[in-house]
Amino acid sequence: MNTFELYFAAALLAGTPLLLAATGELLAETVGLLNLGIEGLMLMGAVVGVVTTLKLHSPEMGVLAGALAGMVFLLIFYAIPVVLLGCEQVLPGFGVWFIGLGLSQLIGSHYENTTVSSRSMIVSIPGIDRIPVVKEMIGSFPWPVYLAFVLPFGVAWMLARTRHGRNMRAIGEDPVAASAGAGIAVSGWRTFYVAVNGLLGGFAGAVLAVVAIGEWGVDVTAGRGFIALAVVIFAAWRGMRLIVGAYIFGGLLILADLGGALGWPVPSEFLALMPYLGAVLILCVWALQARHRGIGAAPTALGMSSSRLA
Amino acid sequence: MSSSAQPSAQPSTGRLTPRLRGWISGWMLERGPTSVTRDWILRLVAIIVVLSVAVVYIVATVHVPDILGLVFRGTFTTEPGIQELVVLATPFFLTALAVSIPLRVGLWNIGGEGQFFAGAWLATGFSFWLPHLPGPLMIIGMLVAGAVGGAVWAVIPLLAKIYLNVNEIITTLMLNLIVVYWVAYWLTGAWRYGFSQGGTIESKFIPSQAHLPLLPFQGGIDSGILVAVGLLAVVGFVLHYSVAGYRSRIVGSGPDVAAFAGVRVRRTIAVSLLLAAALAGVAGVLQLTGNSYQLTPGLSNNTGYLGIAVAVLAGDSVIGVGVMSCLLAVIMSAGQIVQVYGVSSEDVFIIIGLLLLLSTVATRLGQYRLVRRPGAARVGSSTLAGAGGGRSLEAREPTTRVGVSEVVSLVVETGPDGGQGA
Repeated sequence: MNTFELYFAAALLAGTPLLLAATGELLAETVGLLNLGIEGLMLMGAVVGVVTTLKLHSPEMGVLAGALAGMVFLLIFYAIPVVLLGCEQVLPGFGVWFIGLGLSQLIGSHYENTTVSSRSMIVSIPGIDRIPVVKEMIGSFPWPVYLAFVLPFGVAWMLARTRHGRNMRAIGEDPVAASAGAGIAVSGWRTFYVAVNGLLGGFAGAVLAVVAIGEWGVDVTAGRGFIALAVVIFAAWRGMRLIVGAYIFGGLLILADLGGALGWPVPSEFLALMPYLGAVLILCVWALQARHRGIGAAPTALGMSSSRLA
Repeated sequence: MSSSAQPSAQPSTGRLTPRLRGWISGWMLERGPTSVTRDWILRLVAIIVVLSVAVVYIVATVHVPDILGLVFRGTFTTEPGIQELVVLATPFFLTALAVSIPLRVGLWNIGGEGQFFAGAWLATGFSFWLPHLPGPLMIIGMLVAGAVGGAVWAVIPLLAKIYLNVNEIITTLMLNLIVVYWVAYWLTGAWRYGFSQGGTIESKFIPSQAHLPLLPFQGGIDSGILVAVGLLAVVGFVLHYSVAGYRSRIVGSGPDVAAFAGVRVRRTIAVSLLLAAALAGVAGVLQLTGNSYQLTPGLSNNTGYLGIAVAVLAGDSVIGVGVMSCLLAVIMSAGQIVQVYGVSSEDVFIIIGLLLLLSTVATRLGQYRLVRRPGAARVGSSTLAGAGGGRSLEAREPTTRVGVSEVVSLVVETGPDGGQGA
């Protein structure tokens, strides 16, 4: 296995949590909900995932529990204020971030630096595992990696081609018209997609801690939740580009490890800050592009407060 | 209530529940003008609720008799406790303004943490560059360097926002993470403290004439608090009594209106964000010169992030920023004391998150008033009909009024007509 193959595989693994979290966020943003608390959500998924894996000796149960924990967490701390009570969306997002940050450390304080193994989750794709180079690059991963890769295809198809997807976009463009004109139960749909966002965000955190890193540590996400937000913007609120964005950032995230392994003459700190600098630059370049080509518009009602009581 | 005298006229207890529901449905939420006083009261209720939860949690998990008294005395009655309060409150004044000022023009500056470190970094560099400056010059130079460093750290998000409309929440946050590594690079490299070979990284100490003097109360109070309070007063004056402050309020109420009124929107936004970032940078310098005397990764103690909570709880009031900074300093100080008894210091983030959530809910509730429906003053079967009629009448009105029964039925899921058909 040469360096490029190794780097490619590591980038896919590092990009997987971003892809899962960004897919969930995309769905929520499509129905007009801007959840800025992905970071806290992923942390909750991560800590519950690792603790469950340690208790039950099963990484599968771990990532499942992480996903469920994320769902419950987001329903309580985001769906109630935003969807039920119709609060504005920025502060509940920050609330979710901070509560996740604190609560995850409270739960995980006795489980720091205890490694977990996700070896049992590795699957090999029959057929590919006989092609020499491709085998090393994409042939053998834990199954969440493949799931994360397939999911955006399904989401893109659903949003573009199905009635369900059109209804979602209608809610995101104008919830009042969607409710009054098309008879869509806006609050129900939004609650459902908050749950989906929580499920995928928690799963992303659990996959990050259990599969990609292999242990719980304080602030293990290190800003990945916010990078996922940047990935959604980069993807122009469409499914397929999520994959490109997430793996680009996956590649940037492991740059420091790669530089260390290969002995690059660049300070490791500069390599470690690349994903964050990259997020700022990509957002700027993308905004320039979008302005010229007239694409990449956010859902019109994104971030506006719900009209349940208004 | 006059209605409470009526129920004795109704003999059947079986009809009590529908009557109760009828009485409930006689109330409604009316969307009305918000008032500053109501908002403050509701926010204070939110704060009290969250702090009560925290107190219950501490009493339940820390098995020390009289833990609350211990915390209270440790925070307010001992000299180190009061010194610590001042040290904790000082940066909050400025990092909260760093959120509060851009919020007036509609921008969320989440980058207070990064701007804090950028300011502290540049000030540290200044003190190492000119180590033999006399004390006052050195301190003034460091404060200016801190302001410049903080402001420079906001330039990229600012340009991206006003020219490309890139979401400033993400860019300012990313710059927080970048500065962590930038500072770590200097702390492990050129500025490394010679004796720290172990896990912790920290810089060399700044020259001794750069230390802020102590005020002669309570065994020496950090004088950075004077700078912070002075800046708070200046900012408050500018925001409330100057043309620039008035412009920022116009921009905050709507950029389109402001542009129509001849206000240069981009320039107002730029000045607000750069001023805010400069203040966060100064907070970094005050922490450096008043307390820590060396640049460390833990210098900010998360005050950049916690400033968000202070600003939110303060509404858009500058005096509120002062009050809430002190409140948060008390929370942090109490947190440090209970930490000794096994409560994690990071739990403060849970409190902060709950405060943000509940204060948002409080603000939302502040938009509504509970009022009696017209024609629903009496209790009885006729009232039920009246209430029902009122409801259907409401339904035809524009979406300003919502019956309490609808909210209740929403919550308990009895359906929209639950209890009405009695």
